[in-house]
Amino acid sequence: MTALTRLGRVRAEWTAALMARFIAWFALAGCAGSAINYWWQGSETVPRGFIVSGLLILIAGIALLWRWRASRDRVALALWIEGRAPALQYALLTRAEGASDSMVDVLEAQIARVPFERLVRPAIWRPLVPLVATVVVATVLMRTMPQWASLRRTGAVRIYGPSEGRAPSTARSALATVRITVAPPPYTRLRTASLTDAARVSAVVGSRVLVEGAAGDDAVIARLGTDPLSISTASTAWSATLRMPARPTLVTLSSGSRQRAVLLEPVIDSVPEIALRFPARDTVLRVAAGVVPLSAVVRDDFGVAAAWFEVVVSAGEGENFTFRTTTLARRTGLDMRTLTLSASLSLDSLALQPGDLVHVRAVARDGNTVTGPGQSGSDTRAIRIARENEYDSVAVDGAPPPDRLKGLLSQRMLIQLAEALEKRRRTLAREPFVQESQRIARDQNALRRQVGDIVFQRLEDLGAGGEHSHDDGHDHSLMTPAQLLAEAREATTQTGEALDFHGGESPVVAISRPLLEAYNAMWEAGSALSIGDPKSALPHMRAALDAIQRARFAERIYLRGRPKEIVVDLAKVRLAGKTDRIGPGARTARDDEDAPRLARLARFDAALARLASDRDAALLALLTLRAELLAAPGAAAAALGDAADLLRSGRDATDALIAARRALAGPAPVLRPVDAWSVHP
Amino acid sequence: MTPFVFCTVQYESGDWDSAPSVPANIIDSVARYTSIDVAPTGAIAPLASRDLLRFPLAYLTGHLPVRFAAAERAMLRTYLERGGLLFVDDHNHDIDGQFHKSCIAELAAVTGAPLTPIPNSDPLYRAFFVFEDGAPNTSHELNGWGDNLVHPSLFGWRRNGRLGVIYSNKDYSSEWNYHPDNKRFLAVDNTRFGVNLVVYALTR
Repeated sequence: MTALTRLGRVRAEWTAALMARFIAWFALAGCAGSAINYWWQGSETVPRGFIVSGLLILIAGIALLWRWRASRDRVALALWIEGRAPALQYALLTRAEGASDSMVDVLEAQIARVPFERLVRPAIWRPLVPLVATVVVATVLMRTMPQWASLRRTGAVRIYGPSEGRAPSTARSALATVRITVAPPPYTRLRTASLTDAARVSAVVGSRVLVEGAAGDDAVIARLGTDPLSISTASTAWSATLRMPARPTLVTLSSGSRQRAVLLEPVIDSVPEIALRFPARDTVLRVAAGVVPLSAVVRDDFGVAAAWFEVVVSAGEGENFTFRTTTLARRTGLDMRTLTLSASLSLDSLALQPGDLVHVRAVARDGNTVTGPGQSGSDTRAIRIARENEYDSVAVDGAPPPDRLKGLLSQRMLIQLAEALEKRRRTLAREPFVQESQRIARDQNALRRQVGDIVFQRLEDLGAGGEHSHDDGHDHSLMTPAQLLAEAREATTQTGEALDFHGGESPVVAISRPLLEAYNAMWEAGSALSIGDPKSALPHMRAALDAIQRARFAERIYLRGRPKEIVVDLAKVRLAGKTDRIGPGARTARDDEDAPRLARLARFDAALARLASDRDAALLALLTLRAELLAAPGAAAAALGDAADLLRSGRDATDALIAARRALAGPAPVLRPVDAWSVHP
Repeated sequence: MTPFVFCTVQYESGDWDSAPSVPANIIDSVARYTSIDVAPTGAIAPLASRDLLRFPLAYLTGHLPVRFAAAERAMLRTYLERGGLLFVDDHNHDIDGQFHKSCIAELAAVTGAPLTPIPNSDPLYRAFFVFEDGAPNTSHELNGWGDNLVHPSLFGWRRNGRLGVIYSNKDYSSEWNYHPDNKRFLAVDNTRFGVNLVVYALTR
């Protein structure tokens, strides 16, 4: 092997060492860049670590290229070798410079005696040792970074940098860039908006959402929530069209190994908000006359389509009410976000009577043609016309009506029994027919006595006397049935102003008259039934029912004032307990009120733990969590949205994630100070 | 453990106190048939007040149109979200009346969904006493009072499978509005369904 051949091998080894050093520098620059990204908290579009890495690689490359250029000069390389192998005595340098043929053999012999390759090899490879050592150390440190992160998390310092967990980019991925175009419904009059690579999209419910991107190596599969979403594919692009749903929903796109999620956040078109200005409060009027000004302010997020005042007049009391509904100042075909509605309510035109109630409220409807229209009403104001007997005090609580009135209405059942018996007249023998008729007669008489109790108990106060109930302590033998009937007839045949309630007479008489008629009719019916003639009894029974119905519609009398509060004697009641037909239901414990919050917190922590290893999956989990939180938007939902935006755009999301976790965890418990010993609670 | 307190809801519109004896009657029945620790008198809670959250069951009735104020709506929504049970009874015993229409609309605005019929197989009808045929009929329905109809079922709104609102237009408020001492005159206690309401509210 000639000296020049050996020199060429040394040059090849030199070049290899240079290449190795360049690779080491490259790795070192990468480690340095990652470390800078790891520690540096910034919001640059291009992370600062990448810039530093690039500069380091550039400088190292230039320096090593310069060194490699020097090695191409054979004489300079020979001189460098002569410096490290003095035994050559410049024979190699002379040979490299092109010695004469006569000296070649001498020089070759001189060079052959010196193993200069072994002497220069340490000098060639030694600079690589510290570089490789540094790369090894940096690599070990990089592998231990997650442990650092977990330690630093407890200190609430920044946690994640944008370079972590970044999915490797695919040159021809269909999801490299996803563009979203939102076209709101026409009634909102909002403009079409476009977004690129967004993590979430907010739009009015019903908006047309177009998701599109460039075609890639793999087909795109899309899902809206759990439902598949059809994809339109062209030669250079793909697209999917959908309507903004009413609930927060995730659109998940996958292509090959790449996955992307977009959270659709619906903006709900709220119903109109109405504030009733006038009347400002409920009112009691002595006289139903005059004009009441009405005014309301209506606001809507996208526009009020129609608005009006609704007036409901309720008349009656107790169990009997009648209602009239009318509208005022109806305005339609509007397209205004704020509207002041005004009108005048003439009380004279409503023909109100004492005791009537006028309910006034404003009602409005928006122009939502997608999920609406939404309609809402204002608070209701009540205008009440006082009764004459309330003039001394209109703030009187009414007591409930007497319970006995409820029992009177079984007259209808007696009629049905009598009708049924009459139909069976031909098929029944005379004796059972009469027995059945007499049984109905007994019920009819019992009912008549109840009516008598009510009627004559009232008339007694007016001096009319009457039949007494069987348990009121009076001597019933004082009045015969004939006398009672005469009293009833006399009472029911009275006419004129004496029974005119509106003429100032006590309402007791007016109310009792139909009951007295019922009493008379029941008497006749009972007599006919007792002799087995239901056919003759039925007209009287129906007349009695009609009279009772009239009594129902008559004005009722209420005891004044609040009834005495009933205190149940629990011990007494429990001693009389019954246990028949009891089927105890299975008891299930309710969820802890705090359980949902803790569950969300655990899911957030799990997503955070996955962020370093699987960024897309973590982002999907965070967006899913935000979708649930949007049911009741708060600080946590807002922070999660910010974090998703930052993570999707490759920026630092640490602050947003910390804010989200704090919001999810809730406020810190406040400890009450210890009470002073001497203070009585 | 604090005793169960029967709560009557006081709302701004309408005659919320039209059935003053119902609470005592239900309390009497709860004490009579169960071992539930129950307070001897009921309580009244304004619908807009946070006091409402102290009661697992709230009873609302009346004759007149129901219009909740904004604060009342908000508190009722909170009450239902916290797991409270609102029992609403139309004291009119009619159908499609003003109380019915206005109250249904208000409840739908609070819950965000219309009320739906409660099937006869619902655990409500087996929470304590067994009502094979669903909600018991009132005497008013049977004797033709008011609309002359027997209303087939109650209506409800559920949250997580549990009834949060029970709406009745059977007029239990009239049926149960008597002094509990008079219960001894009844062959069958007509307030037993009230016990089911209480037990359901406390155990579901």
